[in-house]
Amino acid sequence: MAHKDILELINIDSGYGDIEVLKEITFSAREGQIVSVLGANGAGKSTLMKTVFGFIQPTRGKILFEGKDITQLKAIQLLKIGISFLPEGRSNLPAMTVQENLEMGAYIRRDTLKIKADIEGLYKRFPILKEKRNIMAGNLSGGQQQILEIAMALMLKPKLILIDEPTLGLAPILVTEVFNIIQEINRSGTTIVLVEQNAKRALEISDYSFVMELGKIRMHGPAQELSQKADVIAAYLGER
Amino acid sequence: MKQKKVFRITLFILLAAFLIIAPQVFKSGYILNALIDATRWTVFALAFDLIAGQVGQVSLGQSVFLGLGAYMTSLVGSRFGFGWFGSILFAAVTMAVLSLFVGVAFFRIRHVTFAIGTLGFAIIAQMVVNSAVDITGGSLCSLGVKRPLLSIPFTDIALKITKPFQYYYLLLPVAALLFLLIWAVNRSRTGRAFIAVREDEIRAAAIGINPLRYKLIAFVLSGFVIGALGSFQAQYLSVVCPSDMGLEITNTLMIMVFVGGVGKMRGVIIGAVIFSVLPRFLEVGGEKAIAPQLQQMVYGLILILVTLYMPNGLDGVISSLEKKGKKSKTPHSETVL
Repeated sequence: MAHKDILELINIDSGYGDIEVLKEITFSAREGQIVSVLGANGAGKSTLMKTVFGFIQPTRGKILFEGKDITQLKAIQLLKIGISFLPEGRSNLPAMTVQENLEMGAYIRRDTLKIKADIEGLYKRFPILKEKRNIMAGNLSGGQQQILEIAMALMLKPKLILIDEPTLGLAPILVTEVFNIIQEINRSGTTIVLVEQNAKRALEISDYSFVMELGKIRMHGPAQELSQKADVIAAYLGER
Repeated sequence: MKQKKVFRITLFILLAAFLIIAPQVFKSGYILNALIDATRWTVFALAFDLIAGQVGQVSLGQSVFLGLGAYMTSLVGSRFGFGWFGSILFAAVTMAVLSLFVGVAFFRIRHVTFAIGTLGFAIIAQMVVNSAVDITGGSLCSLGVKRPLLSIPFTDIALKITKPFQYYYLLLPVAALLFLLIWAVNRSRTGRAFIAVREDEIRAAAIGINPLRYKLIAFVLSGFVIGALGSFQAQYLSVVCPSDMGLEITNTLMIMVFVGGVGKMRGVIIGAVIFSVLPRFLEVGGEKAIAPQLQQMVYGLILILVTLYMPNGLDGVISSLEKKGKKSKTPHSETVL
Protein backbone atom coordinates (compact mmCIF):
# COMPACT_ATOMS: atom_id res chain seq x y z
CA MET A 1 0.00 0.00 0.00
CA ALA A 2 1.48 3.29 -1.08
CA HIS A 3 1.44 5.60 1.90
CA LYS A 4 1.43 9.29 1.21
CA ASP A 5 1.63 12.19 3.59
CA ILE A 6 -1.74 13.86 4.14
CA LEU A 7 -0.32 16.64 6.33
CA GLU A 8 3.16 18.14 6.14
CA LEU A 9 4.75 20.98 8.06
CA ILE A 10 7.99 22.29 6.63
CA ASN A 11 10.25 24.44 8.79
CA ILE A 12 7.45 26.09 10.73
CA ASP A 13 8.15 28.94 13.14
CA SER A 14 5.12 30.16 15.06
CA GLY A 15 4.03 31.87 18.25
CA TYR A 16 2.03 34.64 19.86
CA GLY A 17 3.09 38.15 18.91
CA ASP A 18 6.77 38.50 19.64
CA ILE A 19 6.94 35.27 21.60
CA GLU A 20 8.18 32.50 19.38
CA VAL A 21 6.92 29.14 20.59
CA LEU A 22 7.61 26.78 17.70
CA LYS A 23 11.03 26.63 16.09
CA GLU A 24 11.74 24.90 12.79
CA ILE A 25 9.06 22.29 13.13
CA THR A 26 9.08 19.70 10.41
CA PHE A 27 6.33 17.18 10.79
CA SER A 28 4.33 14.84 8.66
CA ALA A 29 1.35 12.56 9.07
CA ARG A 30 0.68 9.69 6.74
CA GLU A 31 -2.76 9.12 5.37
CA GLY A 32 -4.77 6.60 7.35
CA GLN A 33 -2.54 6.60 10.41
CA ILE A 34 -2.82 7.75 14.00
CA VAL A 35 0.07 10.13 14.57
CA SER A 36 0.67 11.38 18.09
CA VAL A 37 2.49 14.46 19.30
CA LEU A 38 3.87 13.95 22.79
CA GLY A 39 5.39 16.43 25.17
CA ALA A 40 5.18 18.04 28.58
CA ASN A 41 3.14 21.12 29.45
CA GLY A 42 4.44 24.09 27.52
CA ALA A 43 6.25 22.04 24.90
CA GLY A 44 4.23 23.79 22.19
CA LYS A 45 1.84 20.98 21.29
CA SER A 46 -1.31 23.09 21.43
CA THR A 47 0.40 25.93 19.58
CA LEU A 48 1.26 23.42 16.87
CA MET A 49 -2.41 22.42 16.54
CA LYS A 50 -3.59 26.04 16.49
CA THR A 51 -1.03 26.87 13.82
CA VAL A 52 -2.15 24.01 11.60
CA PHE A 53 -5.79 25.03 12.04
CA GLY A 54 -5.19 28.65 11.09
CA PHE A 55 -5.82 30.21 14.52
CA ILE A 56 -2.21 31.39 14.52
CA GLN A 57 -0.28 32.38 11.42
CA PRO A 58 3.20 30.88 11.26
CA THR A 59 5.99 33.43 10.84
CA ARG A 60 7.96 31.07 8.61
CA GLY A 61 7.51 27.80 6.78
CA LYS A 62 4.80 25.99 4.89
CA ILE A 63 1.91 23.71 5.73
CA LEU A 64 0.69 21.26 3.11
CA PHE A 65 -2.51 19.22 3.08
CA GLU A 66 -2.71 16.53 0.41
CA GLY A 67 0.21 18.29 -1.23
CA LYS A 68 -1.54 21.67 -1.42
CA ASP A 69 -0.32 24.73 0.43
CA ILE A 70 -2.79 25.59 3.23
CA THR A 71 -0.53 27.91 5.24
CA GLN A 72 -2.75 30.97 4.70
CA LEU A 73 -6.14 29.29 4.99
CA LYS A 74 -8.64 30.18 7.74
CA ALA A 75 -10.50 27.70 9.94
CA ILE A 76 -13.67 27.71 7.85
CA GLN A 77 -11.75 26.96 4.65
CA LEU A 78 -9.87 24.13 6.37
CA LEU A 79 -13.16 22.63 7.55
CA LYS A 80 -14.41 22.72 3.97
CA ILE A 81 -11.39 20.85 2.56
CA GLY A 82 -11.65 18.15 5.24
CA ILE A 83 -9.69 19.11 8.35
CA SER A 84 -11.43 19.22 11.73
CA PHE A 85 -10.03 20.36 15.06
CA LEU A 86 -11.04 19.39 18.58
CA PRO A 87 -9.63 21.99 20.98
CA GLU A 88 -8.27 21.05 24.37
CA GLY A 89 -10.55 20.29 27.30
CA ARG A 90 -14.34 20.16 27.41
CA SER A 91 -15.37 22.05 24.34
CA ASN A 92 -18.94 21.25 23.41
CA LEU A 93 -21.78 23.73 23.83
CA PRO A 94 -23.02 22.87 27.35
CA ALA A 95 -26.29 24.86 27.18
CA MET A 96 -27.45 23.04 24.05
CA THR A 97 -28.78 19.49 23.83
CA VAL A 98 -26.76 16.63 22.38
CA GLN A 99 -28.84 16.80 19.22
CA GLU A 100 -28.29 20.55 18.88
CA ASN A 101 -24.57 20.09 19.44
CA LEU A 102 -24.44 17.62 16.56
CA GLU A 103 -26.34 20.09 14.38
CA MET A 104 -23.85 22.78 15.36
CA GLY A 105 -21.03 20.45 14.32
CA ALA A 106 -22.47 20.76 10.82
CA TYR A 107 -22.82 24.55 11.07
CA ILE A 108 -21.02 25.24 7.79
CA ARG A 109 -23.24 22.76 5.94
CA ARG A 110 -26.56 23.88 4.44
CA ASP A 111 -28.11 20.54 3.47
CA THR A 112 -30.59 20.22 6.34
CA LEU A 113 -32.06 16.87 5.28
CA LYS A 114 -28.69 15.25 4.82
CA ILE A 115 -27.60 16.58 8.21
CA LYS A 116 -30.54 14.81 9.86
CA ALA A 117 -29.64 11.55 8.15
CA ASP A 118 -26.00 11.91 9.22
CA ILE A 119 -27.05 12.50 12.83
CA GLU A 120 -29.13 9.32 12.72
CA GLY A 121 -26.04 7.54 11.37
CA LEU A 122 -23.98 8.81 14.30
CA TYR A 123 -26.69 7.70 16.73
CA LYS A 124 -26.31 4.16 15.38
CA ARG A 125 -22.58 4.36 15.84
CA PHE A 126 -22.74 5.91 19.32
CA PRO A 127 -25.98 4.66 20.94
CA ILE A 128 -25.21 6.57 24.14
CA LEU A 129 -25.68 9.83 22.23
CA LYS A 130 -29.07 8.73 20.96
CA GLU A 131 -30.13 7.87 24.49
CA LYS A 132 -29.08 11.34 25.67
CA ARG A 133 -30.17 13.28 22.59
CA ASN A 134 -32.38 15.71 24.50
CA ILE A 135 -30.06 16.13 27.47
CA MET A 136 -27.98 19.29 27.79
CA ALA A 137 -24.41 18.50 26.79
CA GLY A 138 -23.19 20.08 30.03
CA ASN A 139 -25.01 17.39 32.01
CA LEU A 140 -23.19 14.49 30.33
CA SER A 141 -20.28 12.71 32.01
CA GLY A 142 -16.76 13.66 30.96
CA GLY A 143 -16.34 10.62 28.72
CA GLN A 144 -19.74 11.12 27.07
CA GLN A 145 -18.87 14.76 26.38
CA GLN A 146 -15.67 13.68 24.68
CA ILE A 147 -17.60 11.20 22.53
CA LEU A 148 -20.05 13.96 21.64
CA GLU A 149 -17.21 16.25 20.62
CA ILE A 150 -15.68 13.61 18.37
CA ALA A 151 -19.13 12.97 16.87
CA MET A 152 -19.53 16.73 16.25
CA ALA A 153 -16.29 16.71 14.28
CA LEU A 154 -17.49 13.69 12.28
CA MET A 155 -20.51 15.69 11.06
CA LEU A 156 -18.22 17.21 8.42
CA LYS A 157 -16.80 13.82 7.41
CA PRO A 158 -13.22 15.08 7.73
CA LYS A 159 -10.24 13.35 6.15
CA LEU A 160 -8.06 14.51 9.02
CA ILE A 161 -8.95 15.24 12.65
CA LEU A 162 -6.62 17.14 14.94
CA ILE A 163 -7.38 16.21 18.55
CA ASP A 164 -5.84 18.20 21.39
CA GLU A 165 -5.58 16.25 24.67
CA PRO A 166 -8.89 14.40 24.57
CA THR A 167 -8.14 12.59 27.83
CA LEU A 168 -7.44 15.68 29.92
CA GLY A 169 -9.07 15.14 33.30
CA LEU A 170 -10.66 11.79 32.41
CA ALA A 171 -10.61 8.72 34.66
CA PRO A 172 -8.33 5.93 33.33
CA ILE A 173 -11.25 3.73 32.30
CA LEU A 174 -12.71 6.57 30.23
CA VAL A 175 -9.31 7.17 28.63
CA THR A 176 -9.53 3.64 27.28
CA GLU A 177 -13.05 4.26 26.00
CA VAL A 178 -12.09 7.49 24.23
CA PHE A 179 -8.98 5.88 22.72
CA ASN A 180 -11.08 2.97 21.46
CA ILE A 181 -13.34 5.39 19.68
CA ILE A 182 -10.40 7.24 18.16
CA GLN A 183 -9.06 3.91 16.89
CA GLU A 184 -12.45 3.00 15.47
CA ILE A 185 -12.71 6.29 13.60
CA ASN A 186 -9.21 5.80 12.29
CA ARG A 187 -10.09 2.32 11.04
CA SER A 188 -12.95 3.79 9.03
CA GLY A 189 -10.42 5.85 7.11
CA THR A 190 -9.84 9.12 8.95
CA THR A 191 -6.30 10.22 9.68
CA ILE A 192 -5.80 11.31 13.28
CA VAL A 193 -3.24 13.69 14.71
CA LEU A 194 -3.41 13.29 18.45
CA VAL A 195 -1.77 15.56 21.00
CA GLU A 196 -1.19 13.88 24.36
CA GLN A 197 0.70 14.25 27.61
CA ASN A 198 -0.06 10.66 28.49
CA ALA A 199 2.77 9.24 26.34
CA LYS A 200 2.47 5.61 27.36
CA ARG A 201 -1.19 5.30 26.47
CA ALA A 202 -0.85 7.39 23.31
CA LEU A 203 2.02 5.25 22.00
CA GLU A 204 -0.18 2.16 22.38
CA ILE A 205 -2.66 3.39 19.79
CA SER A 206 -0.35 5.41 17.52
CA ASP A 207 1.35 4.34 14.33
CA TYR A 208 3.92 7.09 14.48
CA SER A 209 4.93 9.62 17.11
CA PHE A 210 6.71 12.91 17.51
CA VAL A 211 8.17 14.04 20.83
CA MET A 212 8.31 17.79 21.45
CA GLU A 213 10.27 19.79 23.99
CA LEU A 214 10.54 23.57 24.27
CA GLY A 215 9.05 24.20 20.85
CA LYS A 216 11.19 21.72 18.95
CA ILE A 217 10.77 18.18 17.72
CA ARG A 218 13.30 16.15 19.74
CA MET A 219 12.66 12.72 18.30
CA HIS A 220 10.24 10.88 16.07
CA GLY A 221 9.68 7.41 14.76
CA PRO A 222 7.27 4.51 14.59
CA ALA A 223 5.36 4.27 17.85
CA GLN A 224 6.52 0.70 18.48
CA GLU A 225 10.15 1.76 18.25
CA LEU A 226 9.63 4.76 20.49
CA SER A 227 7.88 2.72 23.14
CA GLN A 228 11.12 0.74 23.48
CA LYS A 229 12.77 4.01 24.48
CA ALA A 230 10.18 4.82 27.11
CA ASP A 231 12.83 6.06 29.52
CA VAL A 232 14.21 8.52 26.98
CA ILE A 233 10.76 9.88 26.28
CA ALA A 234 10.05 10.15 30.00
CA ALA A 235 13.08 12.40 30.27
CA TYR A 236 11.50 14.81 27.78
CA LEU A 237 8.11 14.62 29.38
CA GLY A 238 9.34 15.22 32.90
CA GLU A 239 8.18 12.93 35.69
CA ARG A 240 5.15 11.29 34.13
CA MET B 1 -45.06 19.62 23.72
CA LYS B 2 -47.82 20.52 21.26
CA GLN B 3 -49.90 21.71 24.17
CA LYS B 4 -47.09 24.00 25.18
CA LYS B 5 -46.94 25.52 21.71
CA VAL B 6 -50.71 26.15 21.67
CA PHE B 7 -50.44 27.69 25.12
CA ARG B 8 -47.63 29.97 23.98
CA ILE B 9 -49.43 31.13 20.85
CA THR B 10 -52.61 31.80 22.83
CA LEU B 11 -50.65 33.77 25.40
CA PHE B 12 -48.96 35.75 22.64
CA ILE B 13 -52.25 36.60 20.92
CA LEU B 14 -53.88 37.63 24.21
CA LEU B 15 -50.92 39.84 25.05
CA ALA B 16 -50.94 41.46 21.61
CA ALA B 17 -54.70 42.02 21.84
CA PHE B 18 -54.28 43.56 25.29
CA LEU B 19 -51.58 45.91 24.05
CA ILE B 20 -53.71 46.99 21.10
CA ILE B 21 -56.93 47.70 23.03
CA ALA B 22 -55.29 48.96 26.24
CA PRO B 23 -55.77 52.69 25.45
CA GLN B 24 -59.51 52.07 24.95
CA VAL B 25 -59.71 50.61 28.45
CA PHE B 26 -57.29 52.79 30.37
CA LYS B 27 -57.99 56.41 29.62
CA SER B 28 -55.62 57.82 32.19
CA GLY B 29 -52.45 59.35 30.81
CA TYR B 30 -50.63 57.99 33.82
CA ILE B 31 -51.28 54.38 32.90
CA LEU B 32 -50.67 55.03 29.21
CA ASN B 33 -47.29 56.55 29.99
CA ALA B 34 -46.52 53.48 32.09
CA LEU B 35 -47.45 51.30 29.11
CA ILE B 36 -45.23 53.34 26.80
CA ASP B 37 -42.36 53.00 29.26
CA ALA B 38 -42.85 49.27 29.67
CA THR B 39 -42.94 48.80 25.91
CA ARG B 40 -39.82 50.75 25.09
CA TRP B 41 -37.84 49.40 28.05
CA THR B 42 -38.75 45.87 27.00
CA VAL B 43 -37.34 46.37 23.52
CA PHE B 44 -34.35 48.25 24.95
CA ALA B 45 -33.58 45.43 27.40
CA LEU B 46 -33.88 42.82 24.65
CA ALA B 47 -31.41 44.81 22.54
CA PHE B 48 -29.02 44.98 25.51
CA ASP B 49 -29.46 41.23 26.03
CA LEU B 50 -28.40 40.55 22.43
CA ILE B 51 -24.88 41.39 23.55
CA ALA B 52 -24.93 40.60 27.27
CA GLY B 53 -27.02 37.47 26.98
CA GLN B 54 -26.76 36.00 23.50
CA VAL B 55 -23.09 36.54 22.64
CA GLY B 56 -22.17 36.88 26.30
CA GLN B 57 -20.28 40.17 26.39
CA VAL B 58 -21.71 42.72 28.82
CA SER B 59 -21.57 46.15 27.20
CA LEU B 60 -21.96 49.02 29.64
CA GLY B 61 -22.08 51.50 26.78
CA GLN B 62 -25.47 50.82 25.21
CA SER B 63 -27.01 53.92 26.82
CA VAL B 64 -24.80 55.97 24.48
CA PHE B 65 -26.71 54.71 21.45
CA LEU B 66 -30.01 55.71 23.07
CA GLY B 67 -28.74 59.20 23.82
CA LEU B 68 -27.00 59.76 20.51
CA GLY B 69 -30.01 58.31 18.67
CA ALA B 70 -32.09 60.95 20.44
CA TYR B 71 -29.61 63.70 19.55
CA MET B 72 -29.60 62.53 15.92
CA THR B 73 -33.31 63.26 15.94
CA SER B 74 -33.18 66.64 17.70
CA LEU B 75 -30.12 67.92 15.81
CA VAL B 76 -30.64 66.35 12.39
CA GLY B 77 -33.95 64.57 11.84
CA SER B 78 -36.13 67.25 13.35
CA ARG B 79 -34.13 70.16 11.91
CA PHE B 80 -34.09 68.85 8.36
CA GLY B 81 -37.67 67.60 8.36
CA PHE B 82 -37.13 63.86 8.11
CA GLY B 83 -40.58 63.24 9.58
CA TRP B 84 -41.24 61.04 12.58
CA PHE B 85 -40.52 57.72 10.91
CA GLY B 86 -37.67 59.08 8.80
CA SER B 87 -36.06 60.34 12.01
CA ILE B 88 -36.39 56.93 13.64
CA LEU B 89 -34.85 55.22 10.63
CA PHE B 90 -32.06 57.79 10.43
CA ALA B 91 -31.19 57.39 14.12
CA ALA B 92 -31.30 53.59 13.82
CA VAL B 93 -29.00 53.48 10.80
CA THR B 94 -26.47 56.01 12.13
CA MET B 95 -26.32 54.17 15.48
CA ALA B 96 -25.86 50.85 13.66
CA VAL B 97 -22.91 52.34 11.76
CA LEU B 98 -21.45 53.84 14.94
CA SER B 99 -21.88 50.45 16.64
CA LEU B 100 -19.83 48.83 13.93
CA PHE B 101 -16.89 51.16 14.63
CA VAL B 102 -17.25 50.89 18.40
CA GLY B 103 -17.56 47.11 18.12
CA VAL B 104 -14.46 46.72 15.96
CA ALA B 105 -12.53 48.80 18.49
CA PHE B 106 -13.81 47.19 21.69
CA PHE B 107 -14.18 43.55 20.69
CA ARG B 108 -10.40 43.37 20.70
CA ILE B 109 -10.93 42.87 24.42
CA ARG B 110 -13.24 40.43 26.17
CA HIS B 111 -15.50 39.86 29.14
CA VAL B 112 -14.52 42.02 32.12
CA THR B 113 -12.15 44.23 30.14
CA PHE B 114 -14.82 44.65 27.47
CA ALA B 115 -17.33 45.74 30.12
CA ILE B 116 -14.86 48.24 31.61
CA GLY B 117 -13.85 49.50 28.16
CA THR B 118 -17.42 50.14 27.08
CA LEU B 119 -18.07 51.80 30.44
CA GLY B 120 -15.21 54.19 29.69
CA PHE B 121 -16.72 54.80 26.26
CA ALA B 122 -20.05 55.72 27.89
CA ILE B 123 -18.44 58.11 30.37
CA ILE B 124 -16.40 59.86 27.67
CA ALA B 125 -19.35 60.08 25.27
CA GLN B 126 -21.54 61.67 27.93
CA MET B 127 -18.80 64.16 28.84
CA VAL B 128 -18.33 65.11 25.19
CA VAL B 129 -22.06 65.66 24.72
CA ASN B 130 -22.17 67.66 27.94
CA SER B 131 -19.28 69.91 26.86
CA ALA B 132 -20.28 70.46 23.24
CA VAL B 133 -22.65 73.21 24.38
CA ASP B 134 -22.77 74.89 20.96
CA ILE B 135 -24.15 71.79 19.33
CA THR B 136 -26.07 69.92 22.00
CA GLY B 137 -26.95 72.70 24.42
CA GLY B 138 -24.94 70.83 27.06
CA SER B 139 -26.65 70.34 30.38
CA LEU B 140 -29.36 72.83 29.33
CA CYS B 141 -30.50 70.11 26.92
CA SER B 142 -31.46 70.19 23.27
CA LEU B 143 -34.96 71.58 23.06
CA GLY B 144 -37.61 71.87 20.45
CA VAL B 145 -37.78 68.43 18.92
CA LYS B 146 -40.75 68.54 16.58
CA ARG B 147 -43.87 66.65 17.55
CA PRO B 148 -44.58 63.87 15.08
CA LEU B 149 -46.96 64.80 12.27
CA LEU B 150 -48.99 61.97 10.88
CA SER B 151 -50.46 62.67 7.48
CA ILE B 152 -53.67 60.78 6.94
CA PRO B 153 -53.79 59.08 3.53
CA PHE B 154 -56.07 60.58 0.81
CA THR B 155 -56.65 63.77 2.79
CA ASP B 156 -54.77 66.98 3.42
CA ILE B 157 -55.07 66.51 7.14
CA ALA B 158 -51.90 66.06 9.14
CA LEU B 159 -52.44 64.86 12.66
CA LYS B 160 -50.13 66.32 15.27
CA ILE B 161 -49.21 63.73 17.87
CA THR B 162 -49.37 65.15 21.37
CA LYS B 163 -51.47 62.87 23.54
CA PRO B 164 -50.13 59.76 25.29
CA PHE B 165 -52.51 57.38 23.52
CA GLN B 166 -51.42 58.77 20.16
CA TYR B 167 -47.78 58.25 21.09
CA TYR B 168 -48.64 54.79 22.27
CA TYR B 169 -50.11 53.84 18.90
CA LEU B 170 -47.11 55.35 17.18
CA LEU B 171 -44.71 53.32 19.32
CA LEU B 172 -46.55 50.01 19.24
CA PRO B 173 -45.92 49.04 15.57
CA VAL B 174 -42.29 50.23 15.75
CA ALA B 175 -41.71 48.29 18.97
CA ALA B 176 -43.43 45.24 17.48
CA LEU B 177 -41.19 45.33 14.40
CA LEU B 178 -38.04 45.70 16.48
CA PHE B 179 -39.20 42.91 18.79
CA LEU B 180 -39.86 40.60 15.84
CA LEU B 181 -36.46 41.45 14.40
CA ILE B 182 -34.66 40.45 17.60
CA TRP B 183 -36.85 37.38 18.04
CA ALA B 184 -36.26 36.19 14.48
CA VAL B 185 -32.49 36.66 14.72
CA ASN B 186 -32.29 34.85 18.06
CA ARG B 187 -34.19 31.89 16.64
CA SER B 188 -32.20 31.73 13.43
CA ARG B 189 -28.90 30.06 12.52
CA THR B 190 -27.26 33.35 13.47
CA GLY B 191 -28.84 33.16 16.93
CA ARG B 192 -27.37 29.71 17.43
CA ALA B 193 -23.98 30.99 16.40
CA PHE B 194 -24.36 33.74 19.05
CA ILE B 195 -24.83 31.09 21.71
CA ALA B 196 -21.90 29.03 20.43
CA VAL B 197 -19.70 32.14 20.71
CA ARG B 198 -20.99 32.79 24.23
CA GLU B 199 -20.38 29.21 25.37
CA ASP B 200 -16.90 28.71 23.94
CA GLU B 201 -15.20 30.98 21.44
CA ILE B 202 -12.48 28.52 20.53
CA ARG B 203 -14.97 25.72 20.00
CA ALA B 204 -17.14 28.05 17.92
CA ALA B 205 -14.14 28.90 15.77
CA ALA B 206 -13.33 25.21 15.43
CA ILE B 207 -16.76 24.48 13.92
CA GLY B 208 -16.46 27.37 11.48
CA ILE B 209 -18.10 30.25 13.36
CA ASN B 210 -16.03 33.42 13.35
CA PRO B 211 -16.55 34.82 16.89
CA LEU B 212 -15.73 38.44 16.02
CA ARG B 213 -18.13 38.44 13.11
CA TYR B 214 -21.08 37.27 15.20
CA LYS B 215 -20.27 39.62 18.06
CA LEU B 216 -20.33 42.46 15.55
CA ILE B 217 -23.64 41.31 14.07
CA ALA B 218 -25.20 41.33 17.56
CA PHE B 219 -23.64 44.68 18.43
CA VAL B 220 -24.75 46.40 15.23
CA LEU B 221 -28.26 44.99 15.54
CA SER B 222 -28.40 46.19 19.14
CA GLY B 223 -27.23 49.66 18.10
CA PHE B 224 -29.86 49.79 15.35
CA VAL B 225 -32.71 48.93 17.72
CA ILE B 226 -31.50 51.24 20.50
CA GLY B 227 -30.97 54.13 18.05
CA ALA B 228 -34.58 53.77 16.91
CA LEU B 229 -35.77 53.83 20.53
CA GLY B 230 -33.66 56.93 21.19
CA SER B 231 -35.33 58.74 18.32
CA PHE B 232 -38.77 57.78 19.59
CA GLN B 233 -37.84 59.04 23.04
CA ALA B 234 -36.68 62.40 21.64
CA GLN B 235 -39.98 62.88 19.80
CA TYR B 236 -42.00 61.72 22.80
CA LEU B 237 -40.33 63.96 25.38
CA SER B 238 -39.44 66.68 22.79
CA VAL B 239 -36.22 67.33 24.68
CA VAL B 240 -32.86 65.54 24.73
CA CYS B 241 -30.43 65.81 27.65
CA PRO B 242 -26.99 64.36 28.36
CA SER B 243 -28.59 62.39 31.19
CA ASP B 244 -30.50 60.43 28.52
CA MET B 245 -27.27 58.52 28.00
CA GLY B 246 -26.30 58.35 31.67
CA LEU B 247 -25.06 55.40 33.64
CA GLU B 248 -28.35 55.12 35.55
CA ILE B 249 -29.85 53.87 32.29
CA THR B 250 -27.25 51.12 32.12
CA ASN B 251 -27.93 50.27 35.77
CA THR B 252 -31.61 49.89 34.99
CA LEU B 253 -30.85 47.70 31.96
CA MET B 254 -28.59 45.50 34.06
CA ILE B 255 -31.20 44.95 36.71
CA MET B 256 -33.93 44.22 34.15
CA VAL B 257 -31.83 41.71 32.27
CA PHE B 258 -30.07 39.99 35.16
CA VAL B 259 -33.10 39.78 37.45
CA GLY B 260 -35.28 38.67 34.55
CA GLY B 261 -32.83 36.08 33.23
CA VAL B 262 -29.87 36.94 31.07
CA GLY B 263 -29.92 35.31 27.64
CA LYS B 264 -33.60 34.34 27.91
CA MET B 265 -36.09 36.51 26.03
CA ARG B 266 -38.97 35.52 28.31
CA GLY B 267 -37.02 36.46 31.40
CA VAL B 268 -35.77 39.73 29.95
CA ILE B 269 -39.32 40.76 29.04
CA ILE B 270 -40.56 39.98 32.55
CA GLY B 271 -37.66 41.88 34.11
CA ALA B 272 -38.18 44.89 31.86
CA VAL B 273 -41.90 45.10 32.59
CA ILE B 274 -41.41 44.76 36.35
CA PHE B 275 -38.65 47.34 36.64
CA SER B 276 -40.22 49.89 34.32
CA VAL B 277 -43.58 49.74 36.10
CA LEU B 278 -42.34 49.24 39.67
CA PRO B 279 -40.90 52.75 40.15
CA ARG B 280 -44.30 54.19 39.31
CA PHE B 281 -45.90 52.26 42.14
CA LEU B 282 -43.35 53.82 44.43
CA GLU B 283 -44.63 57.26 43.50
CA VAL B 284 -47.42 58.49 45.72
CA GLY B 285 -49.62 61.33 44.56
CA GLY B 286 -47.12 62.43 41.95
CA GLU B 287 -44.32 62.67 44.51
CA LYS B 288 -41.65 60.08 44.68
CA ALA B 289 -42.03 58.21 47.95
CA ILE B 290 -38.49 57.01 47.56
CA ALA B 291 -35.69 59.31 46.52
CA PRO B 292 -34.14 58.30 43.18
CA GLN B 293 -30.76 57.73 44.83
CA LEU B 294 -32.36 55.34 47.28
CA GLN B 295 -34.05 53.59 44.40
CA GLN B 296 -30.66 52.99 42.73
CA MET B 297 -29.38 51.61 46.04
CA VAL B 298 -32.28 49.20 46.30
CA TYR B 299 -31.65 48.15 42.70
CA GLY B 300 -28.02 47.49 43.50
CA LEU B 301 -28.98 45.39 46.49
CA ILE B 302 -31.48 43.37 44.43
CA LEU B 303 -28.79 42.79 41.78
CA ILE B 304 -26.36 41.44 44.36
CA LEU B 305 -28.96 39.14 45.91
CA VAL B 306 -30.08 37.84 42.52
CA THR B 307 -26.56 37.03 41.32
CA LEU B 308 -25.95 35.19 44.60
CA TYR B 309 -29.18 33.26 44.96
CA MET B 310 -30.91 33.27 41.56
CA PRO B 311 -28.13 33.15 38.94
CA ASN B 312 -30.64 32.31 36.21
CA GLY B 313 -33.01 35.06 37.29
CA LEU B 314 -36.79 34.88 37.32
CA ASP B 315 -36.69 32.88 34.11
CA GLY B 316 -34.71 30.18 35.89
CA VAL B 317 -37.28 30.10 38.69
CA ILE B 318 -40.13 29.77 36.18
CA SER B 319 -38.27 27.03 34.30
CA SER B 320 -37.70 24.96 37.42
CA LEU B 321 -41.35 25.39 38.41
CA GLU B 322 -42.39 24.22 34.94
CA LYS B 323 -40.13 21.20 35.25
CA LYS B 324 -41.60 20.29 38.61
CA GLY B 325 -45.13 20.62 37.25
CA LYS B 326 -44.24 18.47 34.28
CA LYS B 327 -42.63 15.75 36.38
CA SER B 328 -45.69 15.35 38.54
CA LYS B 329 -48.00 15.14 35.52
CA THR B 330 -46.22 13.38 32.66
CA PRO B 331 -43.04 11.74 33.83
CA HIS B 332 -41.96 10.52 30.38
CA SER B 333 -42.64 13.59 28.29
CA GLU B 334 -39.82 14.81 26.11
CA THR B 335 -38.50 18.30 26.58
CA VAL B 336 -38.54 19.60 23.04
CA LEU B 337 -39.29 23.21 22.30
